[in-house]
Amino acid sequence: MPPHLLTLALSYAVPLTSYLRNMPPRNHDLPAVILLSFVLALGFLLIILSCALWANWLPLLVALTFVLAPVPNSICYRCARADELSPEYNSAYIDFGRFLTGMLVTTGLSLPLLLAHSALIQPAACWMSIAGGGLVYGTILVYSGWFGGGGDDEF
Amino acid sequence: MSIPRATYDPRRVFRFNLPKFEVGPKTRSIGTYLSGGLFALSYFLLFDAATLSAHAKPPSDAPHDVVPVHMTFVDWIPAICSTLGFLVVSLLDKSHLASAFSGDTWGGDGPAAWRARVVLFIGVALMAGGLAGSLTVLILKYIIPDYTGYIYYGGANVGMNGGIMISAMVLWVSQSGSDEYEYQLTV
Repeated sequence: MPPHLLTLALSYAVPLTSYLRNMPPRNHDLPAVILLSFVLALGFLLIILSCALWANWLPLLVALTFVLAPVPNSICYRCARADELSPEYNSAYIDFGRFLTGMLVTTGLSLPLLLAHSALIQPAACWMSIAGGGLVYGTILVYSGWFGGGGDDEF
Repeated sequence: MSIPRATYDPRRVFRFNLPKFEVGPKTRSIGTYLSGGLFALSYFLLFDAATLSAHAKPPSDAPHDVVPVHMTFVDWIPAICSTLGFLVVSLLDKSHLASAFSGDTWGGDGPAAWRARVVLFIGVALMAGGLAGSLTVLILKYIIPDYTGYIYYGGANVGMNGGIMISAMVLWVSQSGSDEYEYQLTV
């Protein structure tokens, strides 16, 4: 593998890990954070390799989808929490956020299959981008599960 | 309510109750995620057929032929109907329906319940119309002209509309339990 690809992948991964690391941590679990950042870098490396090896940058959409997947839940959780104590507390925001999350995760899984089915990308690129996206999303899940806000902020 | 709920209630109109699924908060969240996933999956089935059709090449033994059939706007009309029906059914407030179908003459046979019933009818009719329309497209556009190599386009269309219908059912069942926070207030 050419070394500039690795540095490219790491340069994508490092700002995100530092962003995650700057969130207020509950308990300092340094080895876990380092392991998670390595897994995140590995996920981005897989996705960027699946694009760069065949000079076809369509699988990068998968990374975008998986990075955006936790966003609706956090936004809708804040929306619903505004009127938590009122008697007409409406859980529709939270349900809508969950629906959007399900849509985004399924999009990230099925978009490479679609592209590979129409022979727009290679099958190997399809599997690599799915694995990389799963690693990225799993990292975000595990991070928010361990260090996230209070445990009720599920993704 | 002055009269307690019993299995036999003399004010009931219907012989069977509207099925009431008691789901917990865990089932509720899982069902909502599942419904969103099914919705996106059924859309991607249609997108897959459309992408295949846009990149279809003539067979390699006759490279100068034209591809006989493509997906056009006609293939998208059932999807539009189904999506509209899905939105209508999902945005409906289920609590009005519970009073509308319980046969309770005092409860809520007001204008809200009446409107909820009409809106539910329209939504389900749109979804069923989408499914029927996709079957029509499959038969009239792909089976009768005998485009055997391209039958996947019509099949994906039927699968997409059926998937949207199943997604609406999953969402309905998972939303029919009470809200989690309401439960916490009563306890």
